[in-house]
Amino acid sequence: MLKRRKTLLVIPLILVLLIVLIIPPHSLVHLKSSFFIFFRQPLSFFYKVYINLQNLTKIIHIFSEYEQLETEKQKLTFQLNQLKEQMYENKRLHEVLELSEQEPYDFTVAQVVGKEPTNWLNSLVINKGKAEGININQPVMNFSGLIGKVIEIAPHSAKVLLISDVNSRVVVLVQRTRQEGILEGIGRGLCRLKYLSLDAEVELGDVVISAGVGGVYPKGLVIGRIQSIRTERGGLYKSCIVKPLSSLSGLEEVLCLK
Amino acid sequence: MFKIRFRTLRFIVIAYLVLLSQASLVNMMTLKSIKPDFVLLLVIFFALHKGMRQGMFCGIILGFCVDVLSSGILGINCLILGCVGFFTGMLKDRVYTAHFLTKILVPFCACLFSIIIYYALALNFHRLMPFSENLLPFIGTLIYTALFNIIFFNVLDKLVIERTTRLL
Repeated sequence: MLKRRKTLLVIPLILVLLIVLIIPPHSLVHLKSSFFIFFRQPLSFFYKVYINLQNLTKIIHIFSEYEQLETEKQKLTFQLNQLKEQMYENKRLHEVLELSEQEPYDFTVAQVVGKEPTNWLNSLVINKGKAEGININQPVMNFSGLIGKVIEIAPHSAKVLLISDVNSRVVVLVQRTRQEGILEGIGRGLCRLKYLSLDAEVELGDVVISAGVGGVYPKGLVIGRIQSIRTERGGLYKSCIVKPLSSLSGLEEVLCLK
Repeated sequence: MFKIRFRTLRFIVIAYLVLLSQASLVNMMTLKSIKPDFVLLLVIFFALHKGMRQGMFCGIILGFCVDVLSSGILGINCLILGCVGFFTGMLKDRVYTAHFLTKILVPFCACLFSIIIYYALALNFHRLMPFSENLLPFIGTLIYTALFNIIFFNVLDKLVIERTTRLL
């Protein structure tokens, strides 16, 4: 009798296994988003508490950081003036060559309300969804650079797959040398730039930008800097570890590009 | 009857808070991108105290909630935590739950089991990193979750078990 009971107990587990293996994952997305309603508001509150607590820990370093920022500000002001000059020159040259100008990005600002609960994937939950005009595959960035794309939408929330996730792929360019490669996530807040030819000129600190290929990410979005370069013995390509410019751990607001 | 309902309700509230914390506050405890798995620990705690059946159902429900919050495939965590609840529930009455070693070894084994099953299942749907590259995060998660369990079980013991005894 007891043995039979134990056997019966396994039935729900087998049912769940069948659901996982048989039903196509994309058809369950609606079910997921409809259940997410129960978590949206409280999760948003919990995430605010987390951000505030994280900010509190930062206070310790605030004074030393202030001095660094002051010197950096002076450098940046100088660079900004130079860039302004170049911008006007660029504008004039565009007019002379009759090149079409790139339109400024249109975006929706969204707040981050949650993070991936597991250790193996990297995603965020934002408080804007279908009702606010968010669509699947919409690029998401913050003021430092690209952070990912929308993969699931609910009426008032969406999930963003971060570029550091193992399922993320972006066609990118090395800004300085225009070498093309594919950037894939490797977790732990880092990405790997693959398929760079062996003679590709890349240096530590080089900036990586989106190439605008594939129709998801527009061209020229800053992604990160090259942290290390690796050439495997006998390998056909060079690969680099890229650290995203925007810290993917404590994000508060993001911009969803239209 | 009221007591049972009250206890169930209290457990639901704790489970809900743990789920919300896992997607927000637990990130405060991240070490090298590794965070302890509170939901897994809660399932283990429940299964050790209530047995196979309740452990499994608790695992399935909490796993479903984790799937809803996660960007992964719906059902994976449901199945993994269900299995963890089921097998850990088998240990009820077989291990001394208050022992220091139980608090470390059971979560360690359960976490190892969940990682292996996750890897085997997720390979069908996601593209995962090669096992060799993920070895350090795996070991880190195992050790971190198992060690954190000492505090976690003590807190839950105080919240659930001691209060229940007082009520009874």
